[in-house]
Amino acid sequence: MSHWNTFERDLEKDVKKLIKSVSGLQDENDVNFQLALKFTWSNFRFHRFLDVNSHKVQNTVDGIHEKLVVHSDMVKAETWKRITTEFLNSPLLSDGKTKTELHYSILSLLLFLSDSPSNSSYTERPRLKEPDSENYFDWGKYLLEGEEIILGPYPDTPVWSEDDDEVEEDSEPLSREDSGIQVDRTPLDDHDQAKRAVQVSWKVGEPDARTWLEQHVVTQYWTAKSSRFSHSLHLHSNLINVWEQHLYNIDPLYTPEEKVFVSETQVIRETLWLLSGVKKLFIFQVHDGKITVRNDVVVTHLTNNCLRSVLEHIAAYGQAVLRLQTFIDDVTGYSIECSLPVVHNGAKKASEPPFRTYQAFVWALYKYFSSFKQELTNIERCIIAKDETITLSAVLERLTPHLAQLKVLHKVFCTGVAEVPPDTPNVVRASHLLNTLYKAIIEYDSIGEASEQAVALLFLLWVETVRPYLEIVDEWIVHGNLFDPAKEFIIQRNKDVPVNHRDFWYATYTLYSVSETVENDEKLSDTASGSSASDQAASAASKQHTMVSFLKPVLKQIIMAGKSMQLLKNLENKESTQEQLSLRDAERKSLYTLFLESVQSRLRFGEESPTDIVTEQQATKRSLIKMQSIVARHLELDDVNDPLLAINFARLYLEQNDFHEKFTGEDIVFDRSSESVTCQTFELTLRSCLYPHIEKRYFECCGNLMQTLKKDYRLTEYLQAMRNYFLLEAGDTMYDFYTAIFDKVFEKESWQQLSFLSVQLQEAVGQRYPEDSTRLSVFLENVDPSKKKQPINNLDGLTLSYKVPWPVDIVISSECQKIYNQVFLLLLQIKWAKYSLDTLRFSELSAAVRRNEGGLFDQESAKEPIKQQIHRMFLLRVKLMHFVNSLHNYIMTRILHSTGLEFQHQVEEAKDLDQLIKIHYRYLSTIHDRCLLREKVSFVKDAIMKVLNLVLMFSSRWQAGFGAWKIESIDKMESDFKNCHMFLVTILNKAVCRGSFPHLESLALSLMAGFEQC
Amino acid sequence: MASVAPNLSAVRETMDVLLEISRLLNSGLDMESLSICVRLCEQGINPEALSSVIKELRKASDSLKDGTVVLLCSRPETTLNKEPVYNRNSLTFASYSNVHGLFL
Repeated sequence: MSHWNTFERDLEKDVKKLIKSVSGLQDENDVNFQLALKFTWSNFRFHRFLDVNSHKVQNTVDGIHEKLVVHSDMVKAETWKRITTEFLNSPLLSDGKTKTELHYSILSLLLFLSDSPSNSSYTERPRLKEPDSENYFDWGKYLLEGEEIILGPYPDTPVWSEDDDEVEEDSEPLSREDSGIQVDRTPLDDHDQAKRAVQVSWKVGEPDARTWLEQHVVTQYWTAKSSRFSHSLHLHSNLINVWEQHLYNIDPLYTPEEKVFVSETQVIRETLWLLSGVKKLFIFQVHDGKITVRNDVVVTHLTNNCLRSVLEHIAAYGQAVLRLQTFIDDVTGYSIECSLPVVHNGAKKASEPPFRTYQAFVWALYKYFSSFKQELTNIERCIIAKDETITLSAVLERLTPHLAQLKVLHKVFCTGVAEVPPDTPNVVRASHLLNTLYKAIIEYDSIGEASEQAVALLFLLWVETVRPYLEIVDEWIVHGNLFDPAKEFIIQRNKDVPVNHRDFWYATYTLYSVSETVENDEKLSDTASGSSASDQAASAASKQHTMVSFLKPVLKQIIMAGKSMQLLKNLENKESTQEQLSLRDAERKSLYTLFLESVQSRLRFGEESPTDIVTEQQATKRSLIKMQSIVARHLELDDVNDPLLAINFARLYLEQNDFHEKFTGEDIVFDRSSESVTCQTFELTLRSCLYPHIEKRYFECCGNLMQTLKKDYRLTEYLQAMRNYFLLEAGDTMYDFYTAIFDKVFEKESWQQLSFLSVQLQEAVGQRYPEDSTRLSVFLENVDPSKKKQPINNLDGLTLSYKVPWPVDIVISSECQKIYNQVFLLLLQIKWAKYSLDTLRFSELSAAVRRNEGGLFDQESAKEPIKQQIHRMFLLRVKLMHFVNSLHNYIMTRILHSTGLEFQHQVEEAKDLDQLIKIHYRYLSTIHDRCLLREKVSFVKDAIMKVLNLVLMFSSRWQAGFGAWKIESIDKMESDFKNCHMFLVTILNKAVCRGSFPHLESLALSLMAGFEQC
Repeated sequence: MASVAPNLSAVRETMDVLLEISRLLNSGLDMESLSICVRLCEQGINPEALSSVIKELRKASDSLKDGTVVLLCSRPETTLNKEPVYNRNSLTFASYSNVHGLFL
């Protein structure tokens, strides 16, 4: 095995060669090639064949001879005998030994491979021996001389090729100077063809014409057998021959390959053509969208490998160009052939709406390519003019910046477009592309000066690509119309919700949040209401670049503005005329234009200060500006002391001189020469150039909407009405309503009749607020009877309903009314307790006492307890009243009134509808909380309810009159009340001490005061 | 170099003779593959194994060109000697169009 290891590499190479030569598979990465390699190795390593036996081979050779004789193929038999003997007696290796094991191995191999030699026709070919030996000597001398004396041409150098004579014949009529230098291994039978080709090419008999053609027409190097071109005989121009000769000399088994000779100019031109997107080339070949370099192309002054490595480098760029070009053709619908997988992505049926983001991207690419091709054409023009020497490396040098840009473009294209799976929805593709560009800009931007060009290019690409998005946003936030036929925008309209529907605000739009890692869209059925949109933004921030990153900071504003605008449009449609709108629209600048103008002015801005000072000193302008700018920067940025940054800024503004000249106006043309827009702080640029416009528009839209809602749709009045009726702010009106109910209860009549309640409500409301009487209605909900055990729960189920017209019902939804109703019920209960205590009269009890005096209890001893009892009743009543009044005061003034004032203030300041909705919800949840209606504090509420219950029982007993109840019940009521009171005081005190509920302080204090007096 | 040179030309001559033998036997090897074979034999490859490999490679590439292609079975089987043994009797290439996925 150690033997194997020594030769492993050589052997491996040979095995690969073998596979290539026998099976014709050229690509080593091919699955089949790997398979064949494995197969071959396993056969070589593990086989059960015997070693070669020379006697056996000799026997077989003799057998074949005999067989041929039997077939009476005497010539063949004789030849066979002769050549095998000759073979065995001549050296196969350079050690000169004959009849070695190797001889027999080879012979046995051929015998194994032989395919009925008797049947095939065979004629011996004459072998040429003489030139070889001669050649050797000549070349040795030649090379030695070349080493010693570095001199010019060697016209007498003979060629080492066997076909030397013929070649010379061919080239003679063409007056070639290079005869004897070129190696042409054309087999004998091909020679006629070659001759013919030459004759055809040069049919223009006249010598003058021929000379002219030789000078002006490109040799047909692409045809199979082209004639050779003239070139210098200098050693340097014949490196390949020297190299080939060297290979030939050191390796007896070396077999030169077929080669096509081209000149470097041809290589350069093919390179230029390749880079400009030409597919049919000779040196570079396209196979299944892959560009490969032809194996057999050589130039005379470079070795095969050297040329190949250079050309492969170029082919990689050619590949990038080809892919981009195919993508461009595909999106523009120009090309018919579809060779790349990308093509499937972009391939659209005619019926499908155009995918504008890709189109914009392609437009940007196209613009880049047209400038790139211009550069290529310039180079080609130079080549044609032949005024200067142009070499391949010089061309590559000249193209370096372009090639670097091409690389960047291709990288962006690969990650942004090509790697996206074919069935991805447009929204994901668009946002992925924009994100990729955005990320690439930031990435390159952070490198700084080194990637200035890349950043400039990417910035241009981005600016172009983002156009459809900005136009969609513009259309949406200006006209309220989300026009996105290809469904590429991250927000999409749900078609089934009409604008004038209550759910419009919540369910109209779907925000597609695109997750980069999973690469699929989660349909957040969010509904893009403000609160949830911001939640999403937060969750999106946790995953990186989840949606179109650049829009993230203003996404909420866009959504708000868009929805507001659509709503506003719908509201306005009835009022303002269409003409006015279109007139206004004509003067308006689109968001994209505004953005471009801002970018332009931002880039111009920093330049003004330095240029003012240095306009006269043109010669030192550049350096002075730099200095000035450094100083300026240092002054400006007190804390940032970064000279590199300052230099960058200086150069940035300087180089943008011509940039913004071309930048103005509607038709914005980016000039490539001026693209040094190093957006040092790309995000800053966005922040200052794009976001303000969106924000401005957002303020306009939402402000308008708020104005319209408040003014034309009387939003605040509706909110006031809600407070009036549900929170009993319209005290007198509601007093009429609820006292009627309480009286009914007091008189032990049934109040739970809808007609009675409605009449009461209508009467109460109709007097003072006639316009609300139609909207307000009362309902009785069925309540579980088991919950109605306590008298205080008697009121459960009584609800108010206020019909809020669209669009105000977006704010005051039915969910809100539920909360209002909960508070309303609590208030009613308190009012009821208060009312029942308030209406008790002392005379009632005294009358009862008086009655008793005349009746049953005429003893002195019995009198005292009765008076005492009555006194206790009075005391208890006052305590209860204190409690209820404290609670009532707390709720009505401390909570409802003050929170209401805060709310009104916030409503005034609300910027958008979403905020308003949020404020309203917050207000409701605050009063809900503070009225102790939350589940968490239900024990407090239960205690309060107990007291209220006690109050009702107390009042009913009071009214029943003295003697209708026992003295123990007073004791019980007193102790119950005391317990509840104590409990509440303790709890509230604790809460106040903790400081978590400052608003409870007043209630706690007043309750405590009542408690201490007990 | 000069001492080696006569041998070189002699070797080249031998190769020519060998090519003639190859042609006479109708083995189907050209100069290039012939020299590869010589090198391989020189490095100790068994000629019989080599010939079987060449035959199989030819067969496989022919069927690849025809388009009638079945999946190749060259997975190693473990024998008692713990020596990976490939299916050395046949080699078939897979064409991309039908069975590409099976290789994964």
